[in-house]
Amino acid sequence: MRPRNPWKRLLSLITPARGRSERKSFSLGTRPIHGKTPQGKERAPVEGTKIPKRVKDSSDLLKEVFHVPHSSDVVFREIVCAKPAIKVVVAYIEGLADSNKVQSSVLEPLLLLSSIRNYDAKDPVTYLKNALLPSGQVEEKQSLEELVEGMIAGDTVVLMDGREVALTVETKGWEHRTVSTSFSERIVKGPQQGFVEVLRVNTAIVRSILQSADLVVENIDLGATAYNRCAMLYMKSIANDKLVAELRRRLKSISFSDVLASGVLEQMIEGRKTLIPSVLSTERPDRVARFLLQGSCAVMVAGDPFVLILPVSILAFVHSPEDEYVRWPYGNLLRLIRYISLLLVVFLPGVYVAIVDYHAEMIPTQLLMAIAASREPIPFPIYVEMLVMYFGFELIREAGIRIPSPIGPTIGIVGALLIGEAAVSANLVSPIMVIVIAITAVAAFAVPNQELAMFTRIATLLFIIAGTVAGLLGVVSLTYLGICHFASLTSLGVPLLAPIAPVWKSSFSSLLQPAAQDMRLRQTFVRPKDKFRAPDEPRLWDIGETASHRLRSSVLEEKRKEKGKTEEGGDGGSHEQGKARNRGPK
Amino acid sequence: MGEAMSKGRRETEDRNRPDSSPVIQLGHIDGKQVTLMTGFLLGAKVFLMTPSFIAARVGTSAWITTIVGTGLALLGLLGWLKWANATSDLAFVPALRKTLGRFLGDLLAFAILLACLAGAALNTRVVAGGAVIGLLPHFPIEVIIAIAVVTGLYGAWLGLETVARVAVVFAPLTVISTIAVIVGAGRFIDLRNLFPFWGLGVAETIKEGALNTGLFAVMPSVMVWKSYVRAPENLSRGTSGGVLLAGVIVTIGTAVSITVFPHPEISRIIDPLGILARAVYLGPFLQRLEAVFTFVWFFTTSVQLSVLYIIAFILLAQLAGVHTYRPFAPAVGLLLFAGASIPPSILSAGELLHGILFQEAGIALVASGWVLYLVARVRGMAPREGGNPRGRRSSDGPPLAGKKLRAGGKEEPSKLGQS
Repeated sequence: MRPRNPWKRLLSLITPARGRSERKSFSLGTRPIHGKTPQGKERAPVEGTKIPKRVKDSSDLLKEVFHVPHSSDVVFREIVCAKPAIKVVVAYIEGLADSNKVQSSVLEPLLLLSSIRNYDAKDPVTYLKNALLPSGQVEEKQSLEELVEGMIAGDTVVLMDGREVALTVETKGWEHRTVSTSFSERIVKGPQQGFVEVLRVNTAIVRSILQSADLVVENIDLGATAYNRCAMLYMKSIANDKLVAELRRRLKSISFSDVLASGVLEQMIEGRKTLIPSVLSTERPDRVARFLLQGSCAVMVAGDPFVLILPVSILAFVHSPEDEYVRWPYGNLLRLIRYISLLLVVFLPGVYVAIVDYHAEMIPTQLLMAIAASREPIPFPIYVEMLVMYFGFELIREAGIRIPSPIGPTIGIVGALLIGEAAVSANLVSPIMVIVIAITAVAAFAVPNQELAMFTRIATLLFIIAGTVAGLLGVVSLTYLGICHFASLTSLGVPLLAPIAPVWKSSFSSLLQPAAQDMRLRQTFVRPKDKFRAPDEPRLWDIGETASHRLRSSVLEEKRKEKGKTEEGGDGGSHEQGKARNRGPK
Repeated sequence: MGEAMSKGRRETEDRNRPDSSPVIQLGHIDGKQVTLMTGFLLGAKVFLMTPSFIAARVGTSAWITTIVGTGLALLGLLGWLKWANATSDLAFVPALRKTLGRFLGDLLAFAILLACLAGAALNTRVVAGGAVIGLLPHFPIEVIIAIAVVTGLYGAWLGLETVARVAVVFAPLTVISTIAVIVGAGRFIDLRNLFPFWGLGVAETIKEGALNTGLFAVMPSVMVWKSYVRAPENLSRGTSGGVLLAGVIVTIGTAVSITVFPHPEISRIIDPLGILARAVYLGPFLQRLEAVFTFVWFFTTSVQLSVLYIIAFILLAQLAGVHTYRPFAPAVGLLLFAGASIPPSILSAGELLHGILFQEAGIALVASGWVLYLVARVRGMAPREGGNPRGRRSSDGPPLAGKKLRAGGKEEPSKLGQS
C-alpha cells in the first residue's frame, strides 16, 4: 500500500479536507438531507438461525457460540419441570445477569411452582410465559442470534424441549457505579447529579429531568457487528428534523464496530480533523436537558458517562451550567472571568515573550527595569526560560493526574521546587516568569471544558513559538489564522462561531447571561422548530394573570369562535341571528 | 437513445449534486456580511493613508470632497447594480462578456482584477513598512510581507463564507480601536483648522470631490458576489451599505486628521491616524496606544487582503473558465509578494496606490457601471422583474452562467435562495 504523503497529512490538519467537508454533505439551511446510509454500509437484515426442536441441540449450539467450556462465566442449567415433565435448559451469563433475579424469576418458579398447576400440554410456551415466570419482561424469540443478543444484554434464556421457540427473561443486573456527583464539571449551586456508565440509567436520568413524552430516545447500534450501542436523544417538537436526520445518518454510517467510548464516537461524527472541538462532551444530566430544550441533540454511548451534545457553538465550551443557576449579574461575572482567563491562558506567555524580546518600548520604564534586573542572572534567552517553565508546569499537571493518591501530596512539594522559589534561587528562571506561568496555570483551571482546556494547552505553546519568531506580529498573525480556522469550522452543519459570526438574534444570550425572564429565545442558530421558550409575556403575574387563567380564557375564546363558525356556517339561522346568539342574553 | 441520454444527464446531475462532489463550496453570504466586506475592502487602508493625499491636494475642504466622492460613488454603484439586475442569471465575468463582447468584457474584468491585485500588493507593502518602522526595526521587510500575504491568503483559501465571518468578528475590534484613537486625540483637535470650508472655492471643491470618486476604484469588484449572495436584494443593500460605511469612515478620518494637523503640515504626514495613536497617552502601565492600534489594524488589513484575494480568485477562475480557485492561490501569493516588494518605501507605495487607483482610471471603473447598463439595455437584456431568480438558468449564456464556483473544480447548479 502506498504511504500517504506526510505534507498532505500536515496540510490536512489546517485546511478543510476535500470531499470530507460538512458543507459538502450537510448544511442545515441549504441542503436536502439524503437520510441514506452510504452504499455498502447498510446493515444486512439478520437472517436468524432457527432454534432446533431438541433442547440438547439448541443448548449445544449456544455452548458452541459462547465457546463453552472455555468461557467459564456462561452458565447452562438443565432442569425438568414437574407437572407434566418437560425438559428445560436455563442459560445466562454470570455477572451480567443478577443471580438473585435468576433465582427468583426463573429457577424457583420452574423448579418449585410448576408442580402446583396443570398446563395445556399443547402450548407449554404460553404457560411458562403467562403463568409461571413472574418477571416483568418475558419475550418469545425465534432465532439463535436473538438469544445470544439477549444473553449478552444480561437476560436469561429458557430453552424448551420440542419447541422451536425460546424465552428470554429480563434479569439484567451487572455491577456498576451508582449515580453520584459529576467529577469533571463541579458546581456549587444547582443539581449535582452526574451520569454513570449504564446507558439505560443515563437515559432514565434525562427522562426524569425532562418529564415529557416529546423526548425521543433512539437506540442505534454502532458498526456492522455492533459490539456497542448508543442512544440519540432529542426533543421531537423542538429539534430541527434535518439536524436529527443528519446525526442519525452519521451514526448509522459508522462502520467501526468497536466504538466503546464517547471520545472515539465524537471524532467519528465530527466534520473535520482539527484541534478545536466541535462536539460538547458533558457528564451533567441537567446540561444535557438544557441543550435538548434548546434544540440540540445528545448522543450517549453505553459504558461511558460522558454524553455528546451537538450542534453547539464555541461559546458553549466556555459556559458553565452554574451561570444560569445563580442570579444573572453573578452569572455574567463568572462568564467574564472565564473569557478573560481563556484569553490569559492562550495569549499571556506568548505576548510576554514577544514584548520582552521585541517590543520593550511598550513597557513603562520602571517595569522594564524590574524585568531586566530579574533576568540579569538568568543564563537562557527568554523563550528557553518560558518553554522550560511551560513544560515543567505541564509535567506537574500530567503527573498530578496519574500519581497514586497515597503519594499525591508529593507532587505539590516537587511542583513547588520546580516552578517556585528553588528554581528562582538557582537562577534558572526569573521571578516574573514564575508569576506569568502561575497566572497562566490558574487561568487554565478556570476553563470549564476539558476539551477546550486541552486545546488551550496546545494554543499556548503555538503562541509562545509565534511570539519568539516574530514578536507581536507573530502573535497577531497566528490569531488571525486561528480565527480564520475557527470561522471555517462547523458543528453538525452549524458554524462554530455561529452566534457571533454569522450574527443571530440569540447572540446576546449566548455571549452574556441575561436575566432568566429575558431568555425568551432558544439557540436560534440551530434552527429549532420552535424559536421561543416562552410566549410574548414570560411572567404573567406582571400583567395580573396566571398561566391557568390564560389557558382557560384561550380555550373559551377558541370554543366561542368555533361555536360562532358553526352557527354562521350551518342553516340554523341567518347571520344576524348567529351574531345575536353570540352576544348572549342581555 | 433518448433513454440513454436522459440516463447520462441523470448521472451528470448526480455527479454535480453538492453532497456527492469531492470539493468544498464557496458558500453564500448575506447582506450584513456583504456590507462589512465592502466596508473593509473600500475603507480599511484608505482610512489611514488618504487623508494626507487629499488634504495636500484640496486643503481644509478635504473632508467635504470625500462626502462628494462618496455620493458620486453611490451613484456609480447604482449603475453597477442596475447592470447586475439586468444580467441576473449570469456570473460576473460571463455577464461582462455578454454585455460588451468577449474582448471588451475580458478587458474590463482584467482592469478590475489589476486594481484588486495592485491594491492588495501595495496595501501589504504599507502594512509591512509600518510594522518595520514602528515595531520590528531589525526584521527583514520581506519576511513581514510574506507573513502578511500568507495570513491574508489563508482566509481566502478557506472560502468566501469564512472571509465573511472573519469580517464580522473583526469589525467591532476595528471600530473600537478607531474610536479609542479619535476620542484619545480629542485634546489635540482644533476646529479652526477646518476653516475655510470651501478653501478652493465651491466649484473647485466639487471638482476635486469628483476626483475622489477614484477612492472607490475597486468597488465594481464587489459585483463578483452577485452569484454568491443568499437573496438578490442582499447585493444592493449590502454593497450600498458598504460604500456608505467606507465613505463615512474616510470622511471621519479625513476630518479628524485635518482638525488635528493644520493644512501645510498634514501634506507631509503619511499615516496621520497612526501618528495620532502614538500621541495618545494611556497611562503608566501601557504608555501608548500605538502598538495596540497597529496590531488591531493588522487584523483589519488582513481581512481587507483576504477580501481582495477572494475577489481576485473568483475573477481569475471566471476569466479562465475553470470551476476552482485554489490552484491560483500560490501564484497569486507569489505575485503579490513580488508586487509588495517592489516599492522602496511606504511613501512610494502610497503614491503608487494613489496614482493607480485614486485617479481617472478609478473614476472610469466606478462610472462604467452605467455604461454597462446602457449597453445591456440597448442589447435587449431585460432587468429582473422582482421575485427570486433561484434555480433559473440562462439558456444562451456563457459556460459559467448561473453556476457557482467551488474550491475544488466542479460546477454546481445555482442554489440561490435555498437557505
